[in-house]
This record gives sequence, C-alpha cells and structure tokens, in this order.
Amino acid sequence: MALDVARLEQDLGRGLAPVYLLLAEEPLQAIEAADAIRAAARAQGFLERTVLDLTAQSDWGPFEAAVRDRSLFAERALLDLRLATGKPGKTGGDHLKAYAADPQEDLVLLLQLPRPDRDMRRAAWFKALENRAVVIHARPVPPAQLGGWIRGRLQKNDLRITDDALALLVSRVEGNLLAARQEIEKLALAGVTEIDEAVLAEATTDAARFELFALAPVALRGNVRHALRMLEGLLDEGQPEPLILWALARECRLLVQAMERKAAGAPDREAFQGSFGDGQKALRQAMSRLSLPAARGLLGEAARVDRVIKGQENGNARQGLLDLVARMAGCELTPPEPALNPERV
Amino acid sequence: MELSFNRETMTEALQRIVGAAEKRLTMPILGNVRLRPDEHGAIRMDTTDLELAWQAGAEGTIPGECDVTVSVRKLLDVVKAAPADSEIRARVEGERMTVGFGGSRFSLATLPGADFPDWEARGSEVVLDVPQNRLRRLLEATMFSMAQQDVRYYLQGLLLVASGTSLRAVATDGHRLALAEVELESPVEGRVERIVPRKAVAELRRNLADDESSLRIGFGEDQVVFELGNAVLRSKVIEGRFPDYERVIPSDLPATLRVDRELLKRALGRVAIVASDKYRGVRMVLGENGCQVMTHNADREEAQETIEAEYDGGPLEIGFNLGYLADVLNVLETEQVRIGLRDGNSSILIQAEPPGGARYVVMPMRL
Repeated sequence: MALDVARLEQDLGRGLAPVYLLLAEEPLQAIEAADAIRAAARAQGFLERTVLDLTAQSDWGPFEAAVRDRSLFAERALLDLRLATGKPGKTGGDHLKAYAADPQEDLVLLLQLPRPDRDMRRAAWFKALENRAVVIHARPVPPAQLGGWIRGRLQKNDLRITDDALALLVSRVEGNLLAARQEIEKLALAGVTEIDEAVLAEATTDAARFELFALAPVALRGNVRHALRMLEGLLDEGQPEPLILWALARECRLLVQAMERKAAGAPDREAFQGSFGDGQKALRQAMSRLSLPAARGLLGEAARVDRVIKGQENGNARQGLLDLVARMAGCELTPPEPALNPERV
Repeated sequence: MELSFNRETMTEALQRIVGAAEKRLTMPILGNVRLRPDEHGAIRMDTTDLELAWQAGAEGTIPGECDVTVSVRKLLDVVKAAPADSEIRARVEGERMTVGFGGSRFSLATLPGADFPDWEARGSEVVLDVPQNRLRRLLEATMFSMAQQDVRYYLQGLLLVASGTSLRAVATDGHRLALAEVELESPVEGRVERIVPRKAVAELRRNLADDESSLRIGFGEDQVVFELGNAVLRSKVIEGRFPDYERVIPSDLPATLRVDRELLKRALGRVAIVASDKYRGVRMVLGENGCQVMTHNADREEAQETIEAEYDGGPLEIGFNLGYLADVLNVLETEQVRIGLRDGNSSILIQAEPPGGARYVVMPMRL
C-alpha cells in the first residue's frame, strides 16, 4: 500500500503494518515520517529498537541476528534498517526477500531508503517487500504548494500569516523544508498570533543576511540614498567589510558579464546567467544607465577596495565601500582620496 | 635521582597495572606509569585511562623528590628483559630515565609526574570483604553475558548488588542473563547497587588470585574500589538504571530437562559444524524420546544429534543461539544441568543440577 506522509499518521492509528518502506526523497518529511512510525511502535508495545545501517558491502549477519534474536526485556521490537545507498547487494537482497516471505509477528521492520530510482523499484527484494509493506514516499513539496504547506504547519501552532508575509517566507526558504520548519519554530516562539512582514523580519532569519544581498540590487537600480543607508546599516551592525564587498563585487561581475555577452549578441538566458528575479531586474536597469567601460570601472573600484580592506593599499575601507555603492548607483561621492590617509598611518 | 628495585617484584607490579594504560593514545601520558615514593619510602606506581586507575607498590629505593612518568609497556619490557632476580638501577636526568642492568642501558623518555591526571579518591558508602577466589568465580560465572557495543551503555557492565550477607552479580545483553551470588562473612549495612564497566571487570578478573586471600570492595557514589593486597583498582561506575532483572527470571516452569552437561556441550559443538555462521541457530526438539538438537544452513546442509536426557514435559520445539547455550554450559561445573522450559517462545532457565548457585536465563530465537 502506498501512502503519502500526510496520511501516515491516520494510518498508524489503525495499527502497525509488518513492514514500512520509507523512500526519503525529501529529508524533513522522511525524518518526520520515521519519527511517527517509531512513536506509534513504542505506543503499541514495540519497546526495543535495533538500528542497523547497512550497504551492499556490509556483513548482513547483524540483520539476521536482529530478526532471529528475541529480547528478554521487550516482547516486541522495531528493526530500524537504513539502506542509504538503496542497494543491499546480492546477500542483502536475499535476506530482505527471505524476510518478506516470512515476516515475524512481533517485529516491525522500518526500512529507510533514498529517493527511489527505476533499478530500486524493479529489484526483486523491493517488489517482495512492497507487497507486505506500507510504502511512504517522502516527496519534496512542490513550490506552488509550499505556501499551503507552511500555512498548514503554522495553523497547527495556532499562528496566522498574511499573504505578503507568506510569500516572503516561501521565497526565503526556497523549498528547503528543514529551513522552513526552523523558521516556523522560531515564529512559534515569537509570541504573536498574526504574522505580517514586520514580525517575519524580526523573528526569522538574520534579516541582515537578507539585507546584504538586497544592497547591490538597490544600488544598481540607482537608488543612491536608500543604498547608502543600507550600507551604513550593515556596517554599523558589524557585517564584515569583506563580506559586503563580496556581495557587491558579485553583482558588478554579473553586470559586466551580462553587458559583454549582450554586446556579443547572446540571448538573455545566457547573458543573465547567475541572476534571478529582483537581481536580474536591477541588472537590466543598470545596463540601460551605464556604459560598459563604466561597469568595468566598478569592478576596478571593487578591486581597489579589496586591497584597502586587506591593508595592501592606503585608504579607508568604509569610505571605499560607500564610494563603490554610490558609483554603482550612478553618483560620484568623493573625489579620489589623498595618497596619505592619516587614519591608516 | 637514582632508583633501584628488584626485577621480580617490579615485573609483578607492572604486569598488574599495565592494563589500565591506554593503547590508543589520546593523551601520551595515559600510556605512562607514574613513579613516586609512598609514605614508607617504597615505590608507588599509578596508571589510568581516566575511566579506571590502578595503583601498586613495589619494594625498592626511590628519592623523596622523585615524581616522574615513563611508558609502562616499555618499562615492563625492559624490566622483564633483565636477568632473573637481578637488581635494576634507574637514573632520572632531565627528560630521560636511564635503566640499566649488567651491560645493558636503556634511555627512556619521561613526562613530569605533576602532569599525570589525578583521581580524586572519594569515600566509600559500603565496604565489604570477600575472598578473592570466590569473587573470581562470581565474575567468571556472569561476566560473559555482559553486552558488547550496545547502545544501552548500562548493559556494558556488570551489576554488583550488596545487601545483607550476599554479594550478587548480574549481567545481561538483552537476550540472555546471568545471575550469581556469594555469601559474605559479615553482613553489610543497607543495600548498594553499582554497574562496573566491562574493562574494569576484565582487569579485576585478570588480577584475582585463586586462593582465600581477602579482597576489600568499597562502593562509593560514583566509583568502586577494589583493594587486593598491595594493589588498588579504582573504576568509575556506569550511570544509568539497570533493567529490572528479577522480572525476567522465569519461575514455576512446567517442564524440566535434565541432561549431562558434557554430553550436551559436545553435541552442540558437533552440530555447530553446519550451523549457519550468521546467527548460529540450533533447534531443540524435546519429547518422550529425550532431546534432539539439529542445525541447518543456507546450503541446506543439516546436522542432527540425539542425546539421552530426562524430560518431563509435553512435546516442545525451541530454537537457540548456540553460543548462548555453550557459554552457560562452559561455566557450570556440575555433572548434570537442569533446564526449565515453558513453551517455544518463552525464556528458559538453566541451572546446575541439583539447583543452587548461578541462574541463567536464555531467550529462544525465532526459527
């Protein structure tokens, strides 16, 4: 019988199957499904648990021993077998087939497998076990359903979320369910019931990291005032200068690459390789404003700031970053600095 | 600084305490023995792996200010290499210790004694005395049932229970259990239970004499101390709750099998030849015709053996791990053994015949 993760809990309530095949394509769903099975087994008197991590090269003796040996202290047991490669090999396959033919009543076998491929699905041991087993395929949540998935989880924690905040959260976790769960746990601790963008910004991930990547697009859009304020904020917050420079230089490099490729007649997809969404829009805007030499000049400036940060050139790193951001936004902030900077001497 | 000692007494002391020294050196000093004078001016030696610690004494001369450590294995090998009963001299200079006898000279690296991890000796709540040979028999009767590499860390040791005039040892790996007791000459106050780790049990067993000489056991809050003559073994105890072993010892078993111990042991040894090497299962068929043991393996090879035995129950078929039965038959000493059974799925109780002394519980296998 095939089940999806959402229906597993209900099914476990009706009693345990002799074998569970857990196909772990997505880690969080797989972890939670395995937890649910273990909890149900414990609740139903399968008190002892043997964990085995086997491969095709393993000695399968411990598996056989776990199947045969009975415990003095628990009448029923859970055999938690992990097959991380999904390939038990000839010996392992024979053991699994033999078990499928003659499963033990007082034993539940939980077999954790990776993402199924055709070879696995067609293997004799898999088919043999499949007939006896509940098969749970822990699939990734498709991007279109991630919003609903997150909202459902929040509801379990008695939390409501606005549509805008939900869209923001979805974009941040980018399909990484483990990250999504972490964010939700943090929100649950934030002590609010209604989540909007402000709460999200405060409660979840280092908003700083988010800002770090937002800085370059804002600058490239030509929004000088906003960009400089963000930069000041990042510096005051203690973001390391090399990290800020790296984020800026990366966008400058993408800008030069896009302009060069465009000039060579490359299609958009190739020209904007490496940039997405907001970032790409900002690049397009900067391209309409800047010439190729000016863009290359930005890279040169970034290189100079890099040397300053590393102490290979005289200058003030903070000022260098401010200059660079201003130039990216299309504005000359200060004339070149004097050769000797008293602050560095 | 000059030390001198006798080859024989030094070898004996070092052999005692060498087991505590680490083989895998996480800290180099744990492979060393600390040498310093004791309160009577004799040589005091210490080794430890941080879980257990040995302390031993040897006659000899040692300067009062001496406190040095040197590899215990190398020192033992050097001392053993000396001619029998010779007097050995050692000189500590700077970071070297030069050991010499006859025309031989060995220069060994040392580490300062002050860096040697010190064990806080704590007071013991309960102290008891027991003859070494009886404790030795108690350990031998039970220690083979301790778990090896089990996540249930508390099974990787031997439970010692002292109460009244009895000292009890219990070991189990979750599939079989061994329980034995010795009678104490004078009663202890209250009741104390401690789980002694595998390695300490093995070290203790290795050093127990086969005579009536007395051994003192002190049970502290988090350590046990065994005092054997001029050597002391201290071990941390395993924290954790030992399973309720009394609950799993079956009683009122309806059927009894009485069989010659050697006969059964040899029969099991023979049928083991074709037993599947993976789980070593043996099937036992009991009925009016006595006892049959049989094995088979994946290649459909079979072995069967009929043993003369006295059985008073109904027909019964039951499977075991050969190793579990053999271990018990090896440590029992009587001519006959008595096996109590209920059915093919329930644990059995193995005892000497006539019963008394150690009790062994073995869980059957699924066949």
